[in-house]
Amino acid sequence: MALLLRVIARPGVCLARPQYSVIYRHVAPMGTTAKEEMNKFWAKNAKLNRPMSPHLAIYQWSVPMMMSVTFRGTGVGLSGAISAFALLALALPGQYPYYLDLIHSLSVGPFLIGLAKFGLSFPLSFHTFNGVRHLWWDIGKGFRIPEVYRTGYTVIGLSVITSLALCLL
Amino acid sequence: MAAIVRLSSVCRRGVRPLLYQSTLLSRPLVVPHKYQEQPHLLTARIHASQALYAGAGSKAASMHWTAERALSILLLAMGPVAYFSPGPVIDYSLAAALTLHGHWGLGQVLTDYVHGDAKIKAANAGLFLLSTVTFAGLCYFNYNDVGICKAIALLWSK
Amino acid sequence: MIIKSHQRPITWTNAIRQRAGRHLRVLVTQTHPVFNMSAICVSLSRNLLVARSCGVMVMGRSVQTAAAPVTEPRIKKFQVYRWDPDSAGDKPRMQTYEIDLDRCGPMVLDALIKIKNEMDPTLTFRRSCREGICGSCAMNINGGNTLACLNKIDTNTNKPTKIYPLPHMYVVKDLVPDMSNFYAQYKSIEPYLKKKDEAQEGKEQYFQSVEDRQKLDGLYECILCACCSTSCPSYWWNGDKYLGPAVLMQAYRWMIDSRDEFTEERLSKLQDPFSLYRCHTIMNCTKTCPKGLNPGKAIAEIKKMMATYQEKKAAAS
Repeated sequence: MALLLRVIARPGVCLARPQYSVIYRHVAPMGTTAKEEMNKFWAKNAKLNRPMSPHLAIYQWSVPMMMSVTFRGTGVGLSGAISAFALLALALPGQYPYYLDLIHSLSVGPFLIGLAKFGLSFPLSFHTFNGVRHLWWDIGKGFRIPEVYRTGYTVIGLSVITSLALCLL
Repeated sequence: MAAIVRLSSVCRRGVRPLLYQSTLLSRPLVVPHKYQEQPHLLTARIHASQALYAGAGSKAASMHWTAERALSILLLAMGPVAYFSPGPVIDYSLAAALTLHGHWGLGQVLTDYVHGDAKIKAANAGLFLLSTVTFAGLCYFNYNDVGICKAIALLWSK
Repeated sequence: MIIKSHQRPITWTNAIRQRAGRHLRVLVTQTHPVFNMSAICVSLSRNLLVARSCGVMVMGRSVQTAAAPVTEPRIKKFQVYRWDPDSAGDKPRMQTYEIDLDRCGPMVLDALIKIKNEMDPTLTFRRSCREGICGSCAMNINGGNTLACLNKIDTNTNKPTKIYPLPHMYVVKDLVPDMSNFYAQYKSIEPYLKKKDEAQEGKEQYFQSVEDRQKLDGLYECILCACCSTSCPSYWWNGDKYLGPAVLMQAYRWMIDSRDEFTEERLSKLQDPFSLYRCHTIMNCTKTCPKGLNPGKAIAEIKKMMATYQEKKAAAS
């Protein structure tokens, strides 16, 4: 009853619409908010112990998907390498050229040196070129699927060429 | 024409509606327009969603996104500069930009994969520590040693 | 009732049987191309063998094979994800069914319906329109999310077709996922026209130029099948707080609708690390959309708007 009185007494009631409306018994008052529905979803599924449908194990891998995960992997790897370098700079006594000569004296052979250089330059060039591709996306360009593949293959090609060039430098 | 709304349809509080289910209350077929707003108000309550994090007016999330892209572009520009004119200025700029870019990037990785309030807090604290030490180490290297640009040049001259 | 012959008597028999209901026994005689005549005897006796009532009765296949060339049945294997909530301790498993492709419609949904009708009535999946407009039959087929009614069966019988429910969703039963969270997320973006002054509603048309209407093309056609959202790894890992491509594309659809007056408020609602910004442009969404839409692009446009919109000085609205 109080609710009804509040409705009647409410100021600024709109009188613009001349039509009458039909109120059915169970319309708006039964509704739930989106947040309530979400909470109910999690509570219900946790209680029922339903299985989760498979994802990574069954989803078909594609070139864009693999490039995306490699972009993340190279980012984390490069970050880790920089942090390791900084930590070593703080922890180790002596200067950088000393340690460089130490590695030289190991005489690992040109092939392994080249491999190590590739191991450093490929992640860097892939991350850089794919980063440019990401920035291209950020301005809204290149979102059609053929374009995604085209720019993807371009990034891979440029990365390989650049890192090989850097190795042979 | 008074409209009588069956209160049980409005107050959903379990047992209490029974008290209102009197035969005196009838179900209305037609209601004057002024009561049409009631369901509108209620639907507004139902559909209005609350901002999960920042209060109304804070553009923190989009500003962070913009800053990340700006820093990436800055870092790209630093590459050729470091190659063509190495020196202490570019060394320290590179140290700052690389550390911050890495910090923000790893921050996104953590937000993606770390769940649970305590774990998130711990991971972010750990990241902050790592980035601080990284920046300190790089600055130390720039100051007490050959510097970033020279180091790369020496590494590649082998 | 005399009906002309049909090329696929068995399928047609099933359809007639379904329509005739439990109390009718229907027998179909196969039209022989030479005789060019066919007849159907409809028997109203419940469990009587119709063989007695119709004198001219031939089982369809034997007549067919007598005159038509013999073809090898093309048997295709279907490996389907199964899980029964009503069997205590049941674990998700794969069940293999074999279908003769010459006795089945071309789409995966045809195969699923055939399995359910003829082999295993317990197989559970959602379906409705069978023409790619309702979004009910969204599932993971051979590793990609599509609509089963639009996905042609790969006729290479050397490989099985693998059917899973939409990835990283709670399973209600077999191929049926719990979509409630997805729908709640859609509700949360307020997918309807909002005007500042609701009092003016209905007085005049809300005019929209041709150019403004064109902006909605590629957005309004979304059928909310959830193929895109459930293909997104970010939605897999953060489905509770990240809205996902389907919902975000609809948010964009309302943001750029010239008739809507709450664009800024809609943008403000995404100002947190999760709702929008878990998208890292992986682009699985656009790749998998069965309607050919581009949610990835829509999200990129939202990000651009988020970076550039000016906040209204008057907060009161």
